[in-house]
Amino acid sequence: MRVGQIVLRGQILTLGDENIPPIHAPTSGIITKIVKKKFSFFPNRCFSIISIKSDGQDKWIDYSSKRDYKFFSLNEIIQLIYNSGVVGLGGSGFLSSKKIERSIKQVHTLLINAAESEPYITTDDCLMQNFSKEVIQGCKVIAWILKIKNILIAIGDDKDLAYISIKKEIQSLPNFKIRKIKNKYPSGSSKQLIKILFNKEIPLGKHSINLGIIIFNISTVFSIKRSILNREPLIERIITLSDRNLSYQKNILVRIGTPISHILSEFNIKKCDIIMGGPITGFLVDDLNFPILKTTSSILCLKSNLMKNILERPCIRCTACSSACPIRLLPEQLYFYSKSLNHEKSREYHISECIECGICEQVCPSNIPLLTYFKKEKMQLRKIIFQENMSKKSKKLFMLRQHRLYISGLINENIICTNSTVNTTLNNAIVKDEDSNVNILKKSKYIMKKELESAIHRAKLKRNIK
Amino acid sequence: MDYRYTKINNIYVCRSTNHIMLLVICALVPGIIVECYYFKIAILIQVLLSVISSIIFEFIFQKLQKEKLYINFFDVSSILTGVLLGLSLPAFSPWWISIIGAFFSIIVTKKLYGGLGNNIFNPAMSGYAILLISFPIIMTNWSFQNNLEILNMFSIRDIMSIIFFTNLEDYYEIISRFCEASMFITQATPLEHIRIHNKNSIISVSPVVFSLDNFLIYRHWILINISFLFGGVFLLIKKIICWRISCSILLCLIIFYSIDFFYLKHVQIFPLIQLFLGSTMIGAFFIATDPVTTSITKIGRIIFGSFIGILIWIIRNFGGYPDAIAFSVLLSNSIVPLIDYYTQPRIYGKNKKWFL
Repeated sequence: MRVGQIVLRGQILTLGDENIPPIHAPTSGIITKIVKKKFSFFPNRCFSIISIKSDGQDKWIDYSSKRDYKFFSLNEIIQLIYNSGVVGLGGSGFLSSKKIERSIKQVHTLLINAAESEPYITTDDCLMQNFSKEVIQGCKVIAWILKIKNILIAIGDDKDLAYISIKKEIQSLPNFKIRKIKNKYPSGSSKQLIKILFNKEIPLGKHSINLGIIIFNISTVFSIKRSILNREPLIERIITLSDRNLSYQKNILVRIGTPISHILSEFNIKKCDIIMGGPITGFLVDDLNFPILKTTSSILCLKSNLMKNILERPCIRCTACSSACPIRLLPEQLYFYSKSLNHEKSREYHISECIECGICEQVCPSNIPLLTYFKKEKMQLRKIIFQENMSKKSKKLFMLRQHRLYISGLINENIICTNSTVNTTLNNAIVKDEDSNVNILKKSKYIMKKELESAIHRAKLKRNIK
Repeated sequence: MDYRYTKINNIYVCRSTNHIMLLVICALVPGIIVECYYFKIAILIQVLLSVISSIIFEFIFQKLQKEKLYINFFDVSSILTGVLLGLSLPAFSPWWISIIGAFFSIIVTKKLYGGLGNNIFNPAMSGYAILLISFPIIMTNWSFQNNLEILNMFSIRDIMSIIFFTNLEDYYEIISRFCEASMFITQATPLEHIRIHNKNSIISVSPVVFSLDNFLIYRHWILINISFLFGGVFLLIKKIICWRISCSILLCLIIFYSIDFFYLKHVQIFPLIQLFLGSTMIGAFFIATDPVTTSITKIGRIIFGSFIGILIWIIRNFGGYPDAIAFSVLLSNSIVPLIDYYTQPRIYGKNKKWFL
């Protein structure tokens, strides 16, 4: 991409890699500038922002081939999902194509997660009421790809209209089932959903695929359907725009990449703090030019200065957090360890298992921002693990090099034999490398023999001198 | 570090820390009123003295630390510590006793360990224990409390003069004089009675048989304990304290007292009545349940509570002190980190262990 290029709606702007899907132009127009920028609320990420000036025509890029999806091969269809940039829209942002690829021939149940349990968010509700047919089609597509026979849709029990509209659609379909679950935060997370529906727990460090269940958020299913049946890349999504007092609440279909300030000016909202994402897990946005991301499900407007007056008090270990934690961690211990930078202890208390639901922060009587501490600690732990792996790798490489030197040193023995400090490291290298272990031992014996002979020779020489 | 605060108060019921502490102080009010009825204004003076001195100590230490004052100063925790300390002191102890106690509980056990939330030992009880060790005669003179008829002879002026304007030597004299006047020799607290009886059970001393009729004499002990029980139940209903600790303490005490009553036959008191003697209720509901110094896991709290219960029974029966709340709470506070380490709950998705 370069400045001044004319793009059409749905055209691929950047090519993706393993973890990042390609990004598409939300509308047709001219690229005006490409900037790299850092935002204060995303401290470790650098965004490159491509700004497009719209020409107002909103022209689609031409998709020539319009085959039925059942004539595609499996690889082709996964490639298609990847190319249209579908990620998990529930908040994870995990590549859907990768998820499908991994779960081939491993799953027997497709679980559609429509239990939007975080307060103020009603995107799933809106989607099910208005696009229930398309959602069901999307389920069929995924079931066809993975050859799944059971499809289960989980809905929060307060969404009656959505329940009725989905129920109408699946009346004639025997494979589909729909279940209401209690609308309680964090039952929308995959771990809790499986615990509620199947009464099983995902084993530590494993994924729901290991239990034979694949979970998709309902908006992801919708966008997969769009990408396969309509050949339309993921360029728009439904988000909820709401106030704290619910004086205005709207579900709006927004192109991904729209700046927040544009949305706010469209609805005449002024002077407020913006929280992107849900009220519990979302983050405060300082810069209103920040765009809507693929994982953004809601924008919450709070009165300004609401959050600055709260003081952080010392923890009194009241255990409100640990009794509320859905995966039974001990947040107060983790808080102490993460505050005192005791990384080993925090790893021992399973900080990596935290699903970042933010309940502990909500129930804390001392107003401690626990989640912020945990996120920071997790980031540091990730760094430490990365460094450990790097050092292991480099050590292995060093040993290999020593080994190579040792073998080459056989040719001119004198260098190796006299250098005793290298010898010890060489011995380590011999132990490390298992394949040529026996070989090396033979060689080392040979060297020892040579050394002995040379020592005897020297001794003889000495005697001769005397 | 940038904080993100979005508290949605209308969805979750979350009290602030100060609110919790204030509720605990409110729950102590019925107990204080009943004690006021029996000990006149003396108990109020003790409570006020220790509260004021603990606030002052807190203030001084924060000034020395150059902390931001507004964060911790309006903490009600130091007031709560003062109230508990003042309630546990004998009603007629001299004024400097409560100040020394407040010094130890606020500065030594709380502030030097790193402020609220970092102390290992219960502040009020450690102050009390230090006083008990250093001034045993003053701290164990419960005879005043026992002879309620003498109390009626005191005016407010007398009480003030006893607390504020007596030397230590004069104080001992006053104690002994009042003891003589009230024929102290036949009178003691029921707990002291039980202890003496237990010690002399090998040598056959005239057995002190406690029946329900005899208990009418000690009804003020029972009434005070019942009023604290009411406060404790209020806290349990409000879900401020954990039921596991106080229930396990009381259950342990009932079990061991009934062993005493039915098998060993040392003491002829019905075990349920024995629960209402001494400072059992205030200990079980207000002192042992201090969240900072208790275990944080559910099973750990049960272990913690039963440990306190066993220790209370052992010290009361075989130890040198008639009332054992302070020492047993402090001793079990010291094993809390160990309990916490070995009773971690099974986290989501982990394989089940045999003991959890």
